[in-house]
This record gives sequence, structure tokens and C-alpha cells, in this order.
Amino acid sequence: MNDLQDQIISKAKALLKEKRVDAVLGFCRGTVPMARRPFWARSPEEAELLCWDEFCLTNLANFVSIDGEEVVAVTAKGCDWRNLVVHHQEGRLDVTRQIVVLGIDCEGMLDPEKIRRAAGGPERVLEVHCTGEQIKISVPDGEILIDRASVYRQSCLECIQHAPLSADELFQNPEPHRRPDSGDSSGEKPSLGSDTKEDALRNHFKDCLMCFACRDICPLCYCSRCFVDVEKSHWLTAQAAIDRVLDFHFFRAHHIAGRCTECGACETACPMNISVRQLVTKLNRDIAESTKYIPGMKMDGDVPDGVFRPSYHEPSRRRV
Amino acid sequence: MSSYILRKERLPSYLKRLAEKYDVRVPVTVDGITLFSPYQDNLALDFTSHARISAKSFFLPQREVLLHYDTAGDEPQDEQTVADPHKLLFGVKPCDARAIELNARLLADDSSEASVQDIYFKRRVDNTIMLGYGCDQPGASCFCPSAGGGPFDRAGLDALITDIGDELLVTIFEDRPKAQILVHDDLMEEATSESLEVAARIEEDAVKILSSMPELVKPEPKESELFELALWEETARRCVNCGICTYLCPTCTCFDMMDEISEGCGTQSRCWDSCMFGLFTLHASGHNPRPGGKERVRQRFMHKLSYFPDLHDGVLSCVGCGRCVLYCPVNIDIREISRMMA
Repeated sequence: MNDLQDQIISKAKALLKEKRVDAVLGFCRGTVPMARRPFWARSPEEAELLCWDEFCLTNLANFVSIDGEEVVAVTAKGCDWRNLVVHHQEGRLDVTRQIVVLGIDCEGMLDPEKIRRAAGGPERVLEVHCTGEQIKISVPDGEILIDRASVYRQSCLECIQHAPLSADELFQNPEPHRRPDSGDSSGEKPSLGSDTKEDALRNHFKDCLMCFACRDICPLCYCSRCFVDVEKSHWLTAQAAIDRVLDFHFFRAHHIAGRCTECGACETACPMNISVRQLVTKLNRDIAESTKYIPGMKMDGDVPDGVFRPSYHEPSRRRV
Repeated sequence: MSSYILRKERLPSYLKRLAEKYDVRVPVTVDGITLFSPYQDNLALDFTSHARISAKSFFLPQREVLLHYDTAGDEPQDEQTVADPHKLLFGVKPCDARAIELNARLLADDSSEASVQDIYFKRRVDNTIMLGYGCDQPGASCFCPSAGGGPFDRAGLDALITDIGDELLVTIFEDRPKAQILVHDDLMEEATSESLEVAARIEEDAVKILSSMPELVKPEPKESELFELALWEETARRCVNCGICTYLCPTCTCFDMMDEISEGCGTQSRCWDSCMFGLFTLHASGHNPRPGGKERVRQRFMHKLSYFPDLHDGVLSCVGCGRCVLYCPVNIDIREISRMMA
């Protein structure tokens, strides 16, 4: 992906030099293998630090400031862009005027946890080199070679929009990696197993620590006061903890259903590898089935249950 | 200190023997996540990875009931009058064990009569035996020597195992009151000088791997100057204020308490809390002394690197396990912050 990185850096430098933007929001390298961090390059020199590769995982739409104090260019994968679109629809941000979108035709990100597993444990990963279709992991006692295809992030395998549909600039790798077919769950509804739904859900979320990283990393969880922050002791109760865990994930899922672009930022952030997205994916499929609506694909137009008009009457509204 | 050889094929018998008297917990990896699980026959043990949740959760569980009471006027009942069965944590990393000693400085300080003891924490420390497993292959995110420990540090441990090939060298720290129960003569032999030499070399190599790490130090500048550093604003731009770093941290011990009362009966319990959360410092008046991400991220590092060492002989509230570095979704690295504070 080095070619993409070069394109991004030279564009960022030009934008900063011409003072067309105050900052370019992208990624820079982190301090441990596979870690990339959101990074604001504010000068042509800092733009040299921008990086682009298969570990630029998190969704930068979560880091775009909406206060309008500075003009920012954002490097946006398809999923980042779709979240910017939702922000636009919801009136938080005028994507067409307030920011410069440096679109990236994303080749799919790799899942660090899958690579750590292949290495025999997180601490064993000393270095990761991605060349072509092979990933080379340096471990204390040698090297491990694995196929790129085996370590794609699940949400990237299911991705339906690799590149932004509108962008000020679009960067493409002339020789893109071919991500395998999704293995495919984009059409079907994810199944939660053969147990009863409740058991399946309890099992699915049993390791949740309530660290709220899924919420905090999510571009669409932007409520200034989240429902779990209203009465903390309720959420931190010592008893029947799993019920509170399920309450949290249920409420959150219903709050972002029909808005969530299934970018996977939540499950990438989860320290316990819970596939947090799965619940919302299921709700999204239900919504798509009944309304044909796919979140974050176009700036204009209605969103399901998102608009109230004077003529609107809820069919079975009971008057009290 | 005395050392024994336990041949690896005897490890299952050894564990079985220990499990006759203790609730033995062993590190087991399921779907890429290592956790301490109750011992059973034929479990595949993983002594390489750090447990995703550190051993602190055995001493300060994420959720615990402290008291039951009722409005009829009976004495409150301490949940732990029925004591936990004695636990034995097998294969604890030295960093995690050292963290329990640091936690004890705060929660089980017996240095003076005025000091406060957390009886729940203290009882568990008294009832738990910790058998460590030396880190012969420290990871890319490990920096225990920088934080004052080491891959074979004995702090907090009753015994330490070194993997020397076909055999395990078990070093018993006899000054620890419970260490002797780990010696089972019929399963172990006294260590030979050769095996001790091999173990010493393995330890040296591990220390060498970690020696390039810069030391984490208590920053030089005054607290008032540290408070105003530009780095807090910069770091807070990407910090999302989730609880990963604090919950995975073996030395973070903050908790919140709550009462749940219904029909005349009540339960007092506590749960881990996190200085990353806005509600952590929200006053009843509505005022919040740490209203934003900047104040919260600053608090975390000031506490670890400045406030705690000020109160505890210069010892940092960090053991260098690397969990916060590895699992932070935006790669906030305490080593880097420490450099910027110094």
C-alpha cells in the first residue's frame, strides 16, 4: 500500500503548503506492531509522518471536530466516508463545505487479533511485514508466514462500499490486493446460534467489561450524555452483571440501527474480542429488508424513522 | 530460597496434587484471549501470553458484594464471612504479581496503626498463593524493567518457575509463609547446579532483550508545571476516554460503591470505576472538576507517574505489562507520555 501512502502524503503537503486546510487528519505509525494512531498533520513536515497501510483500522469520522474552528482534510475509507455522510444527514457536519475528503479506495484492513493468534499470542508479535499476499510475523523464535487472505478484518470482508462515492480526491492503489469474497454474510442475517436467543446473547456478551470502548470509538455514538452515564450505579451494579451488559448493548444497538455502517471500529476496539457489531448488523438487515435503506450511502434523502412531517401519523397511536 | 526440578511430564500430577487442597487457576487461551481458568485435567496451558485481565481481578474483582443488611436493625452481614476457598494462581507473570504488591501499598498498608486496610482485598491476599512463571520471551509491548520490575522479579510471588527445556525449575521463596506447600518431594527433585546455571542464563537473556527500553521515571518538573503541559491537549484529541487502559491495568484500583435496597433489604457492593469516565468525578451539585478528556487523560498519567510515587517512596504505579499500550484503540503509550513529562 506504499503507493497510496505516497499519494496521500504529497496531497497533504500540497494542501498544507497552500494553506487550504489547517490540518490533515490521517494515521501515523504507533509504538507497537500494527498500531496506527489518528494523527493531525499541521505542516508539510508533519505530513511526512502520515502513513497508510493495512492497519489504519479505526474510523476517523469519530475524530473530525464539528466545532468548525478549523478546516480539516480527512483520509477516508469507504466506511469513514459513510459515517461522515450520516453526520451530514444528521446535521452535525456539512461534509461538502466543512471538510476536504481525501477518499481512499480501501483494499480491506487486516485484523491484528487474527495476526496475534497466528503468532501464538499477542506478546509474541515483534514485527509484522505485509508484502503482497503474504504476511510475515517476526516472533521471538523465528518467523511465521501466513496468507493475507486469512487475516482480513471481518467487517472488511463484509464491506459493501470500499471507496467514498464522493470525494475531493480519490486515491487508488494501481495494483490492489484482492480481498477474498466475504464468506458472505452481507445478504443473510447473522445467526446467533442454536440456543435460545437469550442464552445466545448472554454467551455472546459474557466477557464484556463495560469499558465502553465500543461506544467511545463509534462515530455515531456522539450523544453528549449517553444513557449509561445518567445513573452510573445502575450500570455498575454488582448483581446480575450480565443483564446490565445486555441492557447496554441492546439499547446501543437499537440506537444505532439504521445508522450504523458496520465499519467494525467497535469490535476492533473491544479488548475482549467481542463481535459487538453483530447485533446491529442483524437489526440493519431487518431494516434493509423492510425499507431497502442502507445507511450512509447518500447525503440527501430520508432516513427510516428519522424524519417527522406534519402529515405524519403513527398508524396505531394510542391516545392517553 | 530453595530450588527444585519438576519434569514437564509431571506438571499435570503436580497441578492435580495442588488442586486437591486449593482452588487452582491456570492460564488458558480460548479464541485468542488468555484468562485464568479453574484447573481441570487436560487443559492446554498458555504460559506465553499475558492474561488479558490481570491477576488483580482475583484480589479486587470487577464486581463484588460487600455487605447485606436489612432495616430490621440486625448487624450488617459481611459477605465474606464465608471466606473464599484458598486460591492458587499458577503461572502468574511477574509483572502481575508485582502489581499486587503495589496495590497492597494502597489497600492493605499495615505500616502504621493509622493506615486503612481494605479487608476484602487483604483477606484475598492472605488466602492466595501465587506461583509465578518467568518471562523468557518478553513481548514487544513489555517494559517491566523500565517500571522497576523484571521478567523474573519475585515481588508478590511465593515461588517462581523458570522453563529450562524439558524441566521446570521451581524456586521457592521460603520467607513467604505459604511457599512450603508448593514443595512435593515425591514429584520434584532438588535442583542441580547445572540447572541453576541454565536458569540464570535464561534470565540474563530475557533481561538483555528488555534492557534497551528507556527507564520510566518520576518526572523532574514540579506538578504545577506538569499540569500545564501541552501534551495533555494533544493526547486528549485522540483519547476516546474508554475504560480499556484502566480496566486492563493491573495497578489501577479505583472503584465505586453503591447500595441497592428493596423491600427492607439492602446490598452494598462495589465495582471497578475509571478515571477515564466523566461520571467518575461528577459532583452531586453538577460541577465536574474534570470536565473533559484533557483533564481525565492527565489525571491517569499524573497519578501513575507523579502522585503515586510521591506518596509511595518514588515507586511508580505501573509495572510495565504493556496491556494499555497494546490494547489502546488509539495507541496512547505511557512510555512516550513519560518521556514527554520528563
